[in-house]
Amino acid sequence: MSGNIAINTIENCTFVNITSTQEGGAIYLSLPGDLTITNCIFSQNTALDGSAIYYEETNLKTLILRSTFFYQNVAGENGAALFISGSSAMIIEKSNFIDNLINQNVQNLGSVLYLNNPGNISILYSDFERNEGILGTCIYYSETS
Amino acid sequence: MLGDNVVMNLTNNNFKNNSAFIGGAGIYFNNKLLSESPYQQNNFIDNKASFANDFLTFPMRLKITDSTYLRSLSSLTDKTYSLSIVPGITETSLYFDVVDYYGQTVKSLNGGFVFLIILFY
Repeated sequence: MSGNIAINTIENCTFVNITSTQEGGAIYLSLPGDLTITNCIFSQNTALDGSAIYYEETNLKTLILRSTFFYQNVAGENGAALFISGSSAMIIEKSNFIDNLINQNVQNLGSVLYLNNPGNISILYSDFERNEGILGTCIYYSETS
Repeated sequence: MLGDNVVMNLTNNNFKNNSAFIGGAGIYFNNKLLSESPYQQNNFIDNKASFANDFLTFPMRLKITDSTYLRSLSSLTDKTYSLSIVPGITETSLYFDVVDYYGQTVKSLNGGFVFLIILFY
C-alpha cells in the first residue's frame, strides 16, 4: 500500500514479503494521533530501516502493539521489526519477535527494536527469540541530542 | 538513569536464544539506564554475544583487575589511593577492565582492557 491514509487502528492484518529500498517496509508512520495494532502478523518484510514499522519525528502520540507477531523481517541497517525515532510513547503487549535480523555490519544496531529518543515505553509479556544482530539485538535504546 | 522524564517498563518478557556479534543479545542501553537490572523482571535464556550475553550499557567505569595491586590499594580519606611499590622499581603497570553500569566487562572486537604504565624517575 502506498500514499497517506489516516487510521488509528489496524486489526487482524497480515503484512508479508513487502520490500522497500528505503525506510518502512510494511508501515511508514508520518501522521499525528494514536495508532493501535492488534492481532497482526509482519513476516519476511525487508527495508533499510524499520522493515515492519518505521516511525521518525512525527506527531504520533502513542503506538500500541498487542498480540502481534514479527517473524523473519530483515533490515539493511537498523530495526528489522520496529525503527522508532521520536517522542512517541510505545506500549507492546503479548507480542512475539522471532527470527528477525539485520545486515551483519558492525555499524548496524538494534535488530528487533531500534529506539532513539522515544517517549515512555512499556514492553510487557512479550517474547524475543532467535533474533540475530550486532549490538543490542532485541532492544537498542539510545538518546541523542 | 533513564531520561529525565522517560519511563521504561520491561516486565515479564522472555529473551531466548538471541545472538549479538558484539554484545547485548537482549538489550543495549546507550546513554540511559534502567535503575534496576533487567534480570529483576524478565527472563534471559541462552542468549549469545562476544560479551554481556543478555544486556549491556555504555562503558562507564574502570575496574582494577590486577589482583596484586588490588590488594595493595587502600582508600584514603581524601578519595585518593595509596599504592605500595617495591623500592628500586622503575616501572610498573596497573590493569583495568572497562565495565558498564551493571559491572559487566565491555570489550571491543579487538578485546578490551586499559592499562596504566607508571614510570619512576
